[in-house]
Amino acid sequence: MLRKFSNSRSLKDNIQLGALTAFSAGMVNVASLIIFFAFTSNVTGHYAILAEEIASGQWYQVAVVMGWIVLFFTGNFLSNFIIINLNQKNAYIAHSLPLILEIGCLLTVGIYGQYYYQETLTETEIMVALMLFAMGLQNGLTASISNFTVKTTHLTGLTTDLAILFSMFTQKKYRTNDSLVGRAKLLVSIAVSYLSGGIISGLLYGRLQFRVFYVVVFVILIILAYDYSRLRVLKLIKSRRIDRMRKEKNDNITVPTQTKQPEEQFV
Amino acid sequence: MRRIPFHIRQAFVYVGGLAATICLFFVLVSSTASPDQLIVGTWEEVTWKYEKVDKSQDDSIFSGEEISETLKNQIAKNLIIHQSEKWRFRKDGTLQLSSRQKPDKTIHWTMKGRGHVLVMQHNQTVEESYDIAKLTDKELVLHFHTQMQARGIAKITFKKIR
Repeated sequence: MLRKFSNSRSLKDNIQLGALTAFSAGMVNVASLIIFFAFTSNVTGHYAILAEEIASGQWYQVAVVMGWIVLFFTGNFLSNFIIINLNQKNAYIAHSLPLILEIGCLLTVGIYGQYYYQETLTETEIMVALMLFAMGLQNGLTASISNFTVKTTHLTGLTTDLAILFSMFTQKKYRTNDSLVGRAKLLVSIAVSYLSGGIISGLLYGRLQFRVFYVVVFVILIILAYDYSRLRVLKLIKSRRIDRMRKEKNDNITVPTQTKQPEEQFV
Repeated sequence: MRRIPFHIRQAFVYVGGLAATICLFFVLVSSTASPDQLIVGTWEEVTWKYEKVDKSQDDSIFSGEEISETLKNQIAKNLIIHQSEKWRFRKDGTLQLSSRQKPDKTIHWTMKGRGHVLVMQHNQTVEESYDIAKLTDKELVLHFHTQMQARGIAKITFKKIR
């Protein structure tokens, strides 16, 4: 999911990454909507609100909404900044660092909400800001490593793309195009995962309250652990292959001596 | 004259942009009071209105857009804010609802979102949320959805008296 970059990614890689990250984004968005009455995985609405607040001269709210948008931007910026600077050194670390930061943000929200939250407006605004930053990190990561194919925190563009694809599928020549069918599969899996995440978050919130963020963290940990375990397996396979090659090489070198031995013994 | 290297100029642009955004943020935040500061004080109900009025219903209980006392009581029957004429928001998060007909009621208030939602909690069980449509140092307008005879959003307007 995380190891491969840009065009070297397969459809399966993108679907796995897209589905799991969209699921976590859906969970975060619904949880924040229930708890804080604010969306945290998409900023289109915040742009509209920003314009409305500017028009009505509510400068405090302008600052708050502007801050939220800037933090979403910063999350995306930082994610891609990490990837383009660390990718050459270690792709796995470059791709997992934004998710580790996201986990940090969501754990902060979960722990603070569970133990210290006094329901003041400032606390609410800061926690919404943290979640928008976390979603920015996630969106920047998925978009960056998938060559802008996977975007999981908002569904406006996705719904548009899906509608275009479905209208194209009314003609046979497009229905038989594997690339378009693959893209539709990816988009549908993202939409379904986002929705499922939202529903599960809504259902879990009644029982778990702020602990619902630990579930989101668990989902992100699955993404990290999946690739880490794959890396370990690949490393193991690679080292075994190298060992086998070395052994074969040694065998080839020792073959003449082995063939000589019986002769020598015979002699 | 020596030209400044490109990467330093680029760093200036980025750091400058960030600094300008942070400055703008603090200027805006400090220029006006936050909604949770503005709301503190005593507010008096001025009107209850509906955005849409169901004309097919008994017109006797409607007075144009404005809601009559009878309908107001019906709407507020299951609400925390039932028949309250004065609302005193305190800094400690309590809200005292005063009415001529009933004894005072103290509930808990918080603000959510960007300060656009007012949440009221009574006895840690009943929770109601109202959209803050307008909040200035003189006027407060709350919106809430109701399933009552009149359709649409009910609007309560307050003026600050202290």
